Amino acid sequence: MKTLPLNSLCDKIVFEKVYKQYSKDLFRFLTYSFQDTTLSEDITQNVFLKLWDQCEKYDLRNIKSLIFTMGKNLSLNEIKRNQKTDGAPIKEIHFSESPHELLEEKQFKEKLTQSLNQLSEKERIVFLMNRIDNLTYHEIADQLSVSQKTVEKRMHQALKKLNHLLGIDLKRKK
Amino acid sequence: MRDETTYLASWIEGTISDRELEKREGNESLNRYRKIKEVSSILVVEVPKNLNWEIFTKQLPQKRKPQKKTRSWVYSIAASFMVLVGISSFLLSQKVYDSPNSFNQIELSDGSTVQLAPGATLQHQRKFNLINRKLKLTGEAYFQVEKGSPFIIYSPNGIVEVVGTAFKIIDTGDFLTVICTEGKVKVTHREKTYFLTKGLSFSSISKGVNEIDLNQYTDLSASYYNKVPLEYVVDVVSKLYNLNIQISSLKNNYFTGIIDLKNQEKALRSISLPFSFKVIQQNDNGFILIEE
Repeated sequence: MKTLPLNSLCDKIVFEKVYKQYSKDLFRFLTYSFQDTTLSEDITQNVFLKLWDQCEKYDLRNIKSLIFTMGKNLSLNEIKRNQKTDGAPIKEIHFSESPHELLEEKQFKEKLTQSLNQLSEKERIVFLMNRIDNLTYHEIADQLSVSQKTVEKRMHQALKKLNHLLGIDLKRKK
Repeated sequence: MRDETTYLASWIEGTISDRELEKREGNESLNRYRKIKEVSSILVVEVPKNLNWEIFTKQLPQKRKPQKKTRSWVYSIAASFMVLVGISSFLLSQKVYDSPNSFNQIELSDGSTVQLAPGATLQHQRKFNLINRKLKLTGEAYFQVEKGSPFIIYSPNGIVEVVGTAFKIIDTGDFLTVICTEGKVKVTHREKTYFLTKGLSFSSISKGVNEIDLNQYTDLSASYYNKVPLEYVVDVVSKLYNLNIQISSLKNNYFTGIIDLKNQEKALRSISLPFSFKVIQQNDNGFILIEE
């Protein structure tokens, strides 16, 4: 009788662990990249449905990078398809509201959100992975398959741009 | 000397002080950077509820287990192996019960009991317990199942699923019958599903559910059959009494009645009288039933 190899992705318990470990990270990563939570939700589900469908094909050892690559590719395909029909819509990440937020914080958060839009995708990803997911530069470098130095440069750039954009905004108010 | 291209990354990590940053960027910028650091740390991207495993898992199509997918050829390979080699890894992973020439009572490791009719075989994986209860059956068996997880029997002509109950299955040739003597039974035959409760039976001949007389089935000193292919019943009698019985008849006969498990003569009468067969004894063990 054919039995599954140990720790195969086709084993639902293993699949559940992989899902629980990476689905939220993937969702947030896609959101940071493409600033579209509906798209990120759909793509996250599609990635895992595809993984389950073809579970025997995948090796668990590099499952994490596979999940992120699949997510990114599926998103790009989807975006390309949408652009043909709708044109490129302006997207913005929706951050949930915390109940203890002060008005001042809320206002600043809105401006920060708008400014985040104007960062390059690479800068935004690094900034949000560090600030929201609390990942170290080393961990981010690992996930993005770039050097730590590159991550630090992108973070520096992101901060510099945000400072600049928020500075202009404040001056305009005055 | 700090790297000009990364010092802000170092500052937000805490490896450069505010004071140092202020020297480089001025007081106004420092305040803004501090604000960015502070506010960005409370940003939250909420993960939609639909991505919770409990919700997502409902979308996952049931994986057909390789065992099921490959059942038919695994069977044939295993069968050839059994003949050729006698023992194989397949057998080692399986526990097989058979009952060549008697009604054999066995107890399974989940506490359920099975009475196997002559010629029947029952097998399950070595790991068989109240949580994992899947079996394969050919032939006839009467099950009394302990309550637990679904108890599923795959027989060549159907799938029978129960939780805790008592029932009998006969699967021979392309014939299948399931008789429920207690509780509830779910039968799948040719992609249709039938539910049986106590006192009901399914038969592949009528392709439906019929009422039965329960008293007939609870007597274990005899075996009662209701519209079962005669050929099968003759085979049971042959094995039970170690006889070689041949039927000379062109019809497809179905047997209804009792087969005595202790008295050969009574058993032979049961399979010949209702059909008006003449019984000719050829030698000690050889009989021919001829249509008169």
